[in-house]
Amino acid sequence: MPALYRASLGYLLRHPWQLGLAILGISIGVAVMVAVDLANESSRKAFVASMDTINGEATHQIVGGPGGVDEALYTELRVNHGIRAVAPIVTGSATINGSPVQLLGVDLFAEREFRVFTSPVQSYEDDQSALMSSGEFLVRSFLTGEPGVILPASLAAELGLRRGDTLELTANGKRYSVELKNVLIAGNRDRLPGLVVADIALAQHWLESTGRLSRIDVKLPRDDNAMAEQIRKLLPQGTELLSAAGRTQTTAAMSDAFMTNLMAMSLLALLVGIFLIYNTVAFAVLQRRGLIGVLRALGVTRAQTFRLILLEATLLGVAGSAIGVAAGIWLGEKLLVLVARTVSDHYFVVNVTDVAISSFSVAKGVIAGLGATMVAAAIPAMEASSFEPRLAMTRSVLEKRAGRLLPVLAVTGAMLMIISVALLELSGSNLVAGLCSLFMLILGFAFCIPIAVMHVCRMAEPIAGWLAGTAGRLAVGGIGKTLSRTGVAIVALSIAVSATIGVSVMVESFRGSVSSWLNATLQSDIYVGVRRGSLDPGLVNDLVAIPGVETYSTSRRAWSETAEGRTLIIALQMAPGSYLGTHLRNGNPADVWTRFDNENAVLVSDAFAFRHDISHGESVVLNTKHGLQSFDIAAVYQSYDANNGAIMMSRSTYDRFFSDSMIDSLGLYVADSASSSDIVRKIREVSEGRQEVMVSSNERIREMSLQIFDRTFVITNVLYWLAVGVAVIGILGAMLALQLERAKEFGVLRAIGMTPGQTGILVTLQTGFIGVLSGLASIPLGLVMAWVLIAVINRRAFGWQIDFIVQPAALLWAMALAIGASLMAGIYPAFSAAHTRPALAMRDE
Amino acid sequence: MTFDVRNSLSIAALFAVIGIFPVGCTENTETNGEPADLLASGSRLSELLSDKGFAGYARAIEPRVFSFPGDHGPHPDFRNEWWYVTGNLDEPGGQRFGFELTFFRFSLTPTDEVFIESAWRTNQVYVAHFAISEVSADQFHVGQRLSRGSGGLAGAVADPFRVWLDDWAIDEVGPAGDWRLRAHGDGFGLELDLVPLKKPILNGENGLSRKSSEAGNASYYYSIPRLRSSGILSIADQNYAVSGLSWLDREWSSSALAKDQLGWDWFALQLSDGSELMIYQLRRNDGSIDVHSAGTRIDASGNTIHLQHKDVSITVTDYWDSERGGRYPAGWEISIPSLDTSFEVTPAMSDQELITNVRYWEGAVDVSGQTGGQFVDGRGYVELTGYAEN
Repeated sequence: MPALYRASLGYLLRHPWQLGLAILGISIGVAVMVAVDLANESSRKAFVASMDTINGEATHQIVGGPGGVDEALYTELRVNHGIRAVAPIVTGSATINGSPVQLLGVDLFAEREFRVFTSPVQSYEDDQSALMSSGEFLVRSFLTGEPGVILPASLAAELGLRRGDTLELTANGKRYSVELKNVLIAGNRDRLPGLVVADIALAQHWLESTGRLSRIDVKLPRDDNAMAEQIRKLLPQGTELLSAAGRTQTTAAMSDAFMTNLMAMSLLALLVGIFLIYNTVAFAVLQRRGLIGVLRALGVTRAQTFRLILLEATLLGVAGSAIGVAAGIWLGEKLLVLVARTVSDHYFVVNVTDVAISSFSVAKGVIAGLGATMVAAAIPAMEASSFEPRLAMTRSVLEKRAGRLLPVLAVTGAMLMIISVALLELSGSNLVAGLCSLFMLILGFAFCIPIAVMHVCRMAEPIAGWLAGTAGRLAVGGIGKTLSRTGVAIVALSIAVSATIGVSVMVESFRGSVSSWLNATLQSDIYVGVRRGSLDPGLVNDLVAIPGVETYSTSRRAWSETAEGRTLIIALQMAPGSYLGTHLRNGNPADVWTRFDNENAVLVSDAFAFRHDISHGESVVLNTKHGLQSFDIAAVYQSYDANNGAIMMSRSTYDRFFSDSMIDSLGLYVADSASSSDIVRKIREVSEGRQEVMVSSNERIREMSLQIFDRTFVITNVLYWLAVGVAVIGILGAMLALQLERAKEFGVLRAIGMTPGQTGILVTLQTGFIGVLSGLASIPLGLVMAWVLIAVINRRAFGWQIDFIVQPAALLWAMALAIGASLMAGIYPAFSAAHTRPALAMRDE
Repeated sequence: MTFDVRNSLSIAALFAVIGIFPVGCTENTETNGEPADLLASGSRLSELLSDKGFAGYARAIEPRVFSFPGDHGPHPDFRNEWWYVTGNLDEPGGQRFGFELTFFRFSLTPTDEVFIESAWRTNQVYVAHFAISEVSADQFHVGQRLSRGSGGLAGAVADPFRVWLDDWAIDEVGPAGDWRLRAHGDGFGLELDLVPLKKPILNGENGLSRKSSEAGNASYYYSIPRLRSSGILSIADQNYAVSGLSWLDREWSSSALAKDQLGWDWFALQLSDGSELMIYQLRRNDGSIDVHSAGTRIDASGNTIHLQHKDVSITVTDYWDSERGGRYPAGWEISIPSLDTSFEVTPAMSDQELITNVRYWEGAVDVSGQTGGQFVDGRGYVELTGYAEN
């Protein structure tokens, strides 16, 4: 090993804290990025894989509106037109012994062309005779006799069920005792999670969809457009032949915006990590200015110096990235649970427990880690190589140089912010551009922080002296005079803390908007619904007739699907006078509701209007039972309940255009004279033995809605806490560095009479003031970030309109966080400084 | 043909349905296993056919009164039933064809006492086989369909008569009560008008075809031995105007195959003097012929003579080895001394082996010989089962 590298290695090994913290900083940044990427990709892949497994060989699917497809169409295709590569599917939600499952009703005879896994096979061979395992037995038991189901082996094992056991199935609020007819071995756990297979007749019976199919699977030879066209010609109005893969993709794409936002959050941690690396490398360079000066004097070239520093950084980057990737995989598994839950809450059901480790995600992490290290190390490396051998020995020269750099940085920062604003203005509704300008804004602001810190310190120095004597003056003045190190730490902490402000203000504003929206919308006193199902129209009639029920409203959520994707329709029958609960953004309030009730006019949600760039006065086209039908948009309304937007129509309009009589939720208004608890009791009596209903007060619904809301942001919180973690490490590193560098200074101070306690206080005051400065810097940045998140990012990602609400508490909390974090980071350096032994520290003098 | 033997075919056919199950137990996407895999999938014929399998079903115990068109329709109280049409056809250019279209019906259970609100619920299963022998080109085409007997997907009705599975069907058309047969496989198809030239004739003892001395081990069995047939037969893109004669076999039962029976040979011969001959021979495991083998001779005016095992002598004169394994008889000398009748029967082509869920040979044959000293010839269909491992 050349002497040059030995010298370098020696230095690094003598400063294990510096080395460890730098690697840790990179590791966390890389880990968060890799974790989010893996969690996103795993959720998405799990969904696509399970859809692919469920779709089997189906290339296309015939789908209808909310009521599905008439089963007669299937018979017609097969019997009258000889189309054989079709399979009927009746599917819906159910529970097995309380566990939520998807019920898949199939016709075994049509299945051969499509799915292997629907073939029941026995897994418990020990106790079965050959007769029991024979095919005839399997067909007979599947089609006839006591109703039964087939479970994937994993689910059966999870529920402790064996073939022949009786289990309880609930569907549409009704309980059925069914037999476990068989167990599927095919398909791994993640691909067939919670899937229950039954004969199509049973599925129709349980899901109460007699006469209807959820869809017809179609298997067409590759690129056989003629066949597709032939089938399309046979389809009645309101049904469509869609590509199966296309349907999966459109569904998966619904969560794109959510995942993009998570990715952006993860990059924030990496950004903070970059400052940390910069800090470490820059410090390592500064500390070795003597050594570098000697090396240069001995004839080491500038290029060699530059390479040396960059090589050191690369080693740090490699080590950090490697640890980061490993940690990222671990963290990814934790995040996956949160991501999958949020995606299932809002977009589509995804069951996934294991991260699929993709080399692409890992590679991205490594490249980002190394890249970040190189970027961060480039400036210090250039600095090191630019030292004049003689001047390199001089500390003051460096600080002066850094001081000269401040205005340049500030100007660059200001320019970045201007570009960012311009990009925001020009990028329309592009989410990625919005995120880019957010990052530029953060970076630009960060570049302006050091110069501000310098000025603040100059102004604050006398005040600190007046308040805390010499220690105070030294502490505050010291920050301004060692900006080359403290500046970066302050910037890193500011960014992390401002992210907490930005995100928490955004979340609080959002929560406030949602909460007041819920208050306005939830007008009924009692809500009745069915878990994973719909209410029987007959039961609804009896429930609304309960004495003491003054009036009622009903709602139904259903999907209309075309090749462009799925649209949520909310069909409402509103109680008289309850219109006020819906906040209209525009439209003519005088006639909106008349048109809504009596004409084919609909309302669209904020998100829908934004996503489709559409507003009142325009119209939307839906695939109805009468074919494609245009509906006038009477107004845009405020709503937060459908991430991809919804169309609201009156129940009477809905009934005219869709074959679907189901009701998801019934809202009852209780008369003043009646008691809610009596009515709840009566509801239980009336529904007893007919449907198991869930009865909730409107407070309860509100609570539950907010719970889901809060759940959605758990992952966001996790991510910004990780960013704060990186920043704390940054402060710790910076303080340790300072303390090391100033060992002599402390030695002198001790020698001229400063007590160990006073020295400790000096360091603590300094870190405390760094916290104050970071907190102050983070407040404007945080508020701007919150505003961008609310007005730009959320709007572009989800189309939500959120009122900007700032709670002073959030700002105080951020301040406390900044000071607390830096004080915590300062504990060890303060302790260490207090224990400086003057003689030892000053030995060189 | 006796029902118990056909019964074994029917049960075996059901394994087809069945075959899909065990094959599906891996993640292998190969769903269409070879027939051999299907039957090898753990089924024990003898166990399946044990008597306990038939409790609750109607049994063929005594002769019954047949009535038409009612009996053309299904008899769902019985475990198995089939509609079996075979025939020989010619086209004006001189090309010769044979065809078989069979619908099997199975009751999975005697009754279905559980009420399920769905038109798909059923205990009835249908299987159909369709084959065309392209004699001039020495090509054999086979297709198979399976379906539940509900939802309009497959079924049978008596009046107007219809039996169908997907788009394969035999329908009554027109006021005269003629039938039309339609079936299309992959690259071959047939649309045929069928006009009965004789009334249904009852096989066995007034339609009760006994299998053994034990009561109930029997089927109800009638045939329409001569149907004038004309229509369009297609192979690939080529359509042929065809005409000829067909034969309908109808049989239903609930009983079982005897454990010691290996297979059967069935002959349905249509002769130039206007008569027909139906003979079946049950072969036992030990190589002997079961005494319950029997036959029917129908004269030109439709009168029948029941033939017993001892009345008929059949000698195999030739063999054909299937490239898929198994050696089938491929030429016979049949003599019925009591009727002063003897024939030579020769396959129109060798390979008429059906590779469906079960493997069997069913094909067009030529007949020539004498009866009462008069030369007669004709054509027919022969079915051979139990010669090849599945």
